[in-house]
Amino acid sequence: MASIPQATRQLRACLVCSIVKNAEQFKREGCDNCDHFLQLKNHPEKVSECTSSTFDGYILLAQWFFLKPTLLPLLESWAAQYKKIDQYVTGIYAVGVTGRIPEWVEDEMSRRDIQYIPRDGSSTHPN
Amino acid sequence: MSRKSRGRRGSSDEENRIDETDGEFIDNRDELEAEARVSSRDTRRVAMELDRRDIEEENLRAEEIALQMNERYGRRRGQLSQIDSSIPAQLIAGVNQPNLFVIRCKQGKEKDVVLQFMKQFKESEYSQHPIEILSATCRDALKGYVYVEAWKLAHVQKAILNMNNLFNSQIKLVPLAERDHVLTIRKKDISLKEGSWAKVKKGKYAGDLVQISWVYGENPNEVRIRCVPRIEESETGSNKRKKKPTVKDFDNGYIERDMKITNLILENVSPTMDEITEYLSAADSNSRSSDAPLALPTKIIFTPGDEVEVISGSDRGVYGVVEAVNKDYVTFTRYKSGVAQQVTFLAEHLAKRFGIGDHVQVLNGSHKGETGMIVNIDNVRNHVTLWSDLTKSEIKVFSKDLKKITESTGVRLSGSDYEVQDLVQTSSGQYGVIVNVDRSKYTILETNGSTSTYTRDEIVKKEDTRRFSSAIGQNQILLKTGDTVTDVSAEGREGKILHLFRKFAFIMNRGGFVENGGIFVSECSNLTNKNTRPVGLALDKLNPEVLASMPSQPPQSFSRPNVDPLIGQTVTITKGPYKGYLGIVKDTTPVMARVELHTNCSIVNVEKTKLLNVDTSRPVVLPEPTTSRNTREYSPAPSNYSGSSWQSSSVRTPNSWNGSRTPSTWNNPMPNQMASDGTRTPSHADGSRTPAVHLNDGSRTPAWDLGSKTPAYAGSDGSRTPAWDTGSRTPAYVADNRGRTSAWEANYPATPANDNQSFTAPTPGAETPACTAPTPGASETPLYSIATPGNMIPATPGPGPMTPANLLPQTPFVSSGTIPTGGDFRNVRQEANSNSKEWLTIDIQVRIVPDQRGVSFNKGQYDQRLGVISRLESPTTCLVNLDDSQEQCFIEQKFLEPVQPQKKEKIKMIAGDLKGQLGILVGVDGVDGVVKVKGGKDFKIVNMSMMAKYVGEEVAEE
Repeated sequence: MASIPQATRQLRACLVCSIVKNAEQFKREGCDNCDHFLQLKNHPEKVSECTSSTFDGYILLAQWFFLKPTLLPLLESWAAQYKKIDQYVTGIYAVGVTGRIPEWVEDEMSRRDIQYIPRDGSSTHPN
Repeated sequence: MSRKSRGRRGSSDEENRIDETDGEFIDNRDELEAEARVSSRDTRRVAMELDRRDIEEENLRAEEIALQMNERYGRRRGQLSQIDSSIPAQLIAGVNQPNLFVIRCKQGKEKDVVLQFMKQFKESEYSQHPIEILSATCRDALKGYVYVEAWKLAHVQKAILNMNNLFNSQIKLVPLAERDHVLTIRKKDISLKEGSWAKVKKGKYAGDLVQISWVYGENPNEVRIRCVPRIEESETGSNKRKKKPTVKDFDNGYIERDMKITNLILENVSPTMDEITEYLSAADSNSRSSDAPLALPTKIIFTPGDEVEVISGSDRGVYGVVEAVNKDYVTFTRYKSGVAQQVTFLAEHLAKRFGIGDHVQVLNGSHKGETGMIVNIDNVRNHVTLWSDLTKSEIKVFSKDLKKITESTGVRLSGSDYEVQDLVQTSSGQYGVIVNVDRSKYTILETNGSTSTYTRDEIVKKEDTRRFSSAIGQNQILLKTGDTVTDVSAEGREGKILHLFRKFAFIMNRGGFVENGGIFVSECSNLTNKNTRPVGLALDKLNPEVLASMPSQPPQSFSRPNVDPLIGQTVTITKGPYKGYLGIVKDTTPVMARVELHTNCSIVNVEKTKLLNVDTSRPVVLPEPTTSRNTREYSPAPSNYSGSSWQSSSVRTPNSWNGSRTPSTWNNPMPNQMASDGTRTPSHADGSRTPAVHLNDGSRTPAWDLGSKTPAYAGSDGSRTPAWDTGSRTPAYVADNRGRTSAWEANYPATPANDNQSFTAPTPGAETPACTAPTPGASETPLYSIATPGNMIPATPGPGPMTPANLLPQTPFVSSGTIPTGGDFRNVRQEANSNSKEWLTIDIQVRIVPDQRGVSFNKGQYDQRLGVISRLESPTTCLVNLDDSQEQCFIEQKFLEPVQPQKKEKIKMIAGDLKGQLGILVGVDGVDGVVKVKGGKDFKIVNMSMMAKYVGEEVAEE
């Protein structure tokens, strides 16, 4: 589970997974979902690069999946699927994030065969 | 949808079916919602309905849904991460989706609520009963709503049970068709065109108009902007450089910077002429033609009715009247050879069309609100010159910032809330009437007669003067807004009252007086009304002999006989079916009052005697009919009624009090018990505020009837009798012959204005024997001592120099457990009741005082001496070591009172739950002390009467 952001501190949203945390938390813990390729932990310059302070809305994703894996089918959140965050950890996510990941991240992601989903609404949704 | 109907359409397309199901469900749900509003029981039915729907939807063939879901989500599956591939796709798609509920919440608290949900989830995650929600969503644009995803309504209800800022009662299901919108974001289609205008959000250039000079690539994070350099004080060097186009950074006097798009406002930037002029002024006149940038596209806001013209494209020159505007598309009606034809164009191809001579109004910029006639149109540079109606000068604006109008608005500014003759409040706290409006300046005539100029921002609000619709002028005539009056103080100026405000009247003179637009201000008391007779008798016209024949009625008694000061007061109803209701008196008769209740705005008729003035906590009128005597206190100043509620209540109080409380009625029936009454001077009763006791407490009306019902009183009122029935109680005191009665004595704190000698008593320093007299009475009859001062205190008239709060704790003769408090009486009563009479305990300082009946210990030879209790002989007798000698004496509790500790002194609790505990008095708050009890960690608030000064050796503090 991701740490709970403090509303009063500077909030940022990850450009890849749209998780919302304080800049400090990003620096200290990295991104809970994407740190294996973003490596934000202890890299403040990467934090400012790969996260954005302009985002819209909060989604609390309550991941029952991790709690009761056997009941998975019943515990899938529609909102999480819709926002394509259903595989991520429990936490606060943004509904929309303004900005794009830098090129090196895009390269890194394609190298790892991870599809980048722009969180600014520019990707055409299946619906 | 019922199963039957589904069966009938079994072969229909699955997609259609789902949609229909949705639609039908929505209808159902609406009905159910309506029902749910009727009774809470029906909420359950809603839940049941939802469950039913769950089951029904499960009946849909899983494969088909799976197929569908695969189509929707399958594409991205397996691409996200490694975890993804481990989940069989059919499983996810094979079940229906949870429900999305929308809950109303306090605006601005949406995000807090979502965070709260996360905290709850985190806390309950591994508990027995985790909150069963799947997601919680809020959007910046959806203010006041939080969306919660869960399987059942009950889960949501349970989850929000302990949450703040949510309106639990308003949980609704979001229809399937609509719930996508909650999460859909649309990428803002920002037109990043080179040459377009933008504004900087923050930083050094915040608010500046800039031009985009270069866009990097297709989806840039940054753009290059061109802006006018800001010169900082510290950088005087760059100031000079600005003029040199040779410096690399600058392009013709502009500075170019790379800036993040997020720091730019790109939408709806509609620069005004001023801003563009300022921007252009930085350009080197030689190197750049100032014409070019002006022709740059700026977004024009069209409104229906505007005349527009196509300015670019193949249809250039086509014009018409706008019919509708739909985002970027403008539909206008074109008249071509007499035939109306509706055409739609992109807004960017259109411009507003004006002709020379058109009367227009400026919509934006520094000339906003001005009107004028177009004198020149520059189609190339897209700007218009107009002749302002207001300033009588030429102004240049963009045609986009103009609107055609049919009439001149002259003085009045459109969009402005204030007009000439409005009574307004300014930011400096002044009130005044607007006498002139310039484009952005308001000249205001203030109540003191001076005029000042304010900007629009400095005017706080328009004052509603309807509540001051009438006032009293000279000789008590009634003035009303709109009356024609004469100001006797200022050369008899005449005029019509525009506004009445407090004691001032703003008058419009339609004659010789031209200053301030003919408006002047005067005090109401200087005004006479020519047309109407005075409301009361015209005393100035009365024959002096007639006047002399009515000596008993001072002239003031005629003041406002028709206007009951009660009107407009906020009162509570103390008796009857409306008991406890709060309202405003709207009208009165001699006995009845029409009270508008706050709760439901209905007007009820209530007897005046059942009303209690809220501000003064006094009854508005006494049971006795008012007499005409002593109306001297009737205030002739009209404004006082609205301003001071105390005054208005005092108006009536002395009246009726005096009427019944003439010395004769007071004395006669009570020859035995109140032997000293005879010494009470009439003036004493007259000028006193003593009646407050009786006035305030409805339950004590028997006391009020004292004059006529003394025997009954003495017999029936058990609780008070001991205290009152003390003709013998202070023999010494009566012998003192200071003209005080025991009753009077008991009431002393409420009579501050009395100049009687005894009145030194309430001052803390005064420790005369006379003052101590009431104390024993208080200590032995707790009920009495509580009730009397307690009731008196709120009734203490305003002018009393001492407020209850500081008077009482300082009173030197307060006794145990029964200190009259100015605060919560019930509390005291409880304390007094729980406080057994035995408060004696060792090592506390005590003072020797006469007992309740005025009997002194040992003939008074020890009175007022201090001592320390060294040993208890019985619960009520003890051995006291006298402070200032080696003497010891056995003494009864009734001759003792505990010495009140001062701040920071050690104390011992003598009553209550903490009795016997040691501590430190940290602070005193009115009648309560803040005590740090020994061994306790926190502070306790304890009534001062429950503690005594501790003088033992034990450390009271840790």
